Formats: sequence, C-alpha cells, structure tokens
Amino acid sequence: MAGKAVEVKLYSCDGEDFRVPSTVASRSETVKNMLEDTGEEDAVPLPNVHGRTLSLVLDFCKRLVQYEKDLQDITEDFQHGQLDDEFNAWKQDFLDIDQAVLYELIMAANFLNVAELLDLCCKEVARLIKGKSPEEIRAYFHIKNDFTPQEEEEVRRENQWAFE
Amino acid sequence: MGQRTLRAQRSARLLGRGLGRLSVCISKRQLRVRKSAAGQATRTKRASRPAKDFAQIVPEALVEDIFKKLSPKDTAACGLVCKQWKAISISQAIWKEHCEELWANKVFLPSLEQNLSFQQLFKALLADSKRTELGAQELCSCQWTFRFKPQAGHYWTSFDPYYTKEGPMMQRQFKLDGSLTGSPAHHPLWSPHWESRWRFTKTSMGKRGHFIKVNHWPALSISRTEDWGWRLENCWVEYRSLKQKHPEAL
Repeated sequence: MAGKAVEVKLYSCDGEDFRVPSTVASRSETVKNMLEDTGEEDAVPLPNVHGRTLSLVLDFCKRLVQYEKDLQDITEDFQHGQLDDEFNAWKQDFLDIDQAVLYELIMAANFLNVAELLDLCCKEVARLIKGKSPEEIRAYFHIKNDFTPQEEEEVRRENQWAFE
Repeated sequence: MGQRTLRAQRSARLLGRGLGRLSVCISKRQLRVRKSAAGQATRTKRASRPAKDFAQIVPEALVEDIFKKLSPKDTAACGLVCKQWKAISISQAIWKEHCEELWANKVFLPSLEQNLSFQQLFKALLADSKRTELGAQELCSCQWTFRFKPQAGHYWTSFDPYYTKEGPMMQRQFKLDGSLTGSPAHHPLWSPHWESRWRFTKTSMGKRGHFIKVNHWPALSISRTEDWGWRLENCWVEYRSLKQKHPEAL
C-alpha cells in the first residue's frame, strides 16, 4: 500500500460519484471507519450528503492534506507562517459561499466528522454574530422576537452585566 | 473478529443516525458557481441573499457548537434574540468553558454558594472581581507579598529584598487571632520589637470605607488587581495576595 495512492469511491445521496485518494477521504472519521470495516475496494455510500456539499467537503479535505504534507516538508521556521497564511487565505476564499450552503456544510462536516471543517464553519457563523446587538442579530438572520415584553425585560436584567 | 463486528455495528449506527436526520437540499440558485483554476467569480455574492436563522436548520447540538465560538458577551446577546436561542445560549457546556477561561489566570476566587449554574457562576465571579470588601477569613487564608514603597525612605527600603535583590520578596500572614507574622522568619523587621497586630477599620484620614490597620501605621486601603488579586496599600507599603490554589468545588 505504501508509495501508491489508493483511490476510494464515495457516492452522495443524489448518486454522484467521487473518486479521491484514501488519504483525503480518511479525513472524514466516518468514512475512515467505514473504509476500515468494508475495505477500500467497496464504494462508500453517504446517503445524507448531497453531491454539491460533498464536493466542497472533499475540496477542504484535499487542501488540508496538502497543507499537512507541506508542513512536513518545510525546513525553515518562517515557512510555517507562510503555509499558514496561504491556507488561511484559501479558507477565506472557500468560505465565500451562501449561508444556506454554509449551514449545509456544517451538517455535512458533523455527519462526516471532519473536525477541522466543522470548526471552521462554526467559527464563520459565529463571526456573523460577533459584536451585534440582539436587535441586529434578529434583523440579520430574520428571526422573530417571540419574547413578551416582560420576558424580554427579565432576560435583559439577567444579562445586564454583558451590556454595561 | 469481535472488534471488526463492533466497528461494523458502529458505522451502521452512524449511517442510521445520518439517514434519520433530514437532509436539506440546496437549490441550484443558492449554490455559488465555483470557478475552477482562476477562482475569480461569477459567484453569487453572499450578501445578495438574506440570511436565514441557522437554528431552524441545523440541529441544536451544532447551534451550541457555534455559540461556543462566541465571547461571553456575544453569547449573552444571543440569549436575548428569541426563546429558542435563549434555551441554547444558557447551556452548561458553553458557560463551563467561559468560566474555565475566566478563572484560568486569576489569583483569587471567592467561595460562592453551591448549585449555581455555570452561567450564574460566571456572572457571580465577574461581580465578585470588583468587590473591595475583604472578610477576615479571606484575609487570613491568602498569602501576601510585602514591600515598601520608595517614599517610605531609604531606612526601610534598605531592609527590603524587593530593592536589595537579596532573595525573594518578603511575605506576611494575617492570623485570625489578630496577629501578623512575616517571612523570612529571621528578618529584622519581624523582631519581637516590631510585633504586629491587625484590625479592620471604617475610617482612614477622615475618609470612610473598608480599611485594615496594622499597629499605628496609616490604614491600608483595599483594592483589586487585574488578575482578581487583592492589594492592600498605604503611602509606605504594599501587600499583594499570592495566587491561591483554586478550590476544587468550582
């Protein structure tokens, strides 16, 4: 097995096929476990991940594997920062997606158990919340305020420390 | 063989869980057009579509994961958005993390009432960090470093390792019986000639407040340091509480 990249086959809920190196597919703990159970020759069905989302997840895994490989190859310390910068820039570009897709990715990253991707996507949603007042959050995410004025007053009092 | 079966069962379980969860499919319009090599885009701009409430889409456990990435203040703001957000924003797991981060590098933690939720504990800790009233038990349970201030004059600072650099800072210990001991034990400052007594007092130089008086010296005012330690000082000396072992109860 060493030396030769083994390809595995994954297919999404809408029947799309993906052929990726097993090193990439194994960044998903879920897929990794399934490969260990069934062997790398069998195609792995991922019945609740849509092809369009799976393609993004695999893009991420590929880039992550590349980053980790690059890290092993560097000889100078300063290159570490450079690789981080490049990966971060790539992530930013990767996250330039519609919120609906971002939420899909969160669910896929969770199901496929790709910790780094789940972390990245959760941070991205958190970034959209950061620094906003409750009113601004409601307006941004189109959320209806279902507190009665009394309830809202009570919660506001409990959380007073945060708004001082 | 047994292990293999176990693993097979586990992945079957995982798969089952995944199947059980509703898979929300995205319409083609919503999906950004990914351009390959060059990367510049005929992309749907993110801002062009209104954001939806993710708490209506992703499972609660994942909303919690998102909230965990927020600061305590932002988490508190989320608690005011709507009932569902509030219910998730007060999760013990979220506030346990906030509490742990809050007290990580702090010198002093108060003993608070038991049975507080982590959110209540966070609030109580924050409020307590501004308290400048010190109880006798707390005063006597802390270890204190002691040094003279330069304005005490050369006579005193010449005794003080803080200035002479001969050894570590002096330490003092307040005792519940009203006495005050010092270390290093053989230092001339703590000779029987200088035996020390302490007491609380409510006035100092005409000002009202909470003070500690040692012998006939000017009363020590009580304040807090950035890291929640205690500082006792008058014009000539400064005491600072040393880091306490964090109580296991927290």
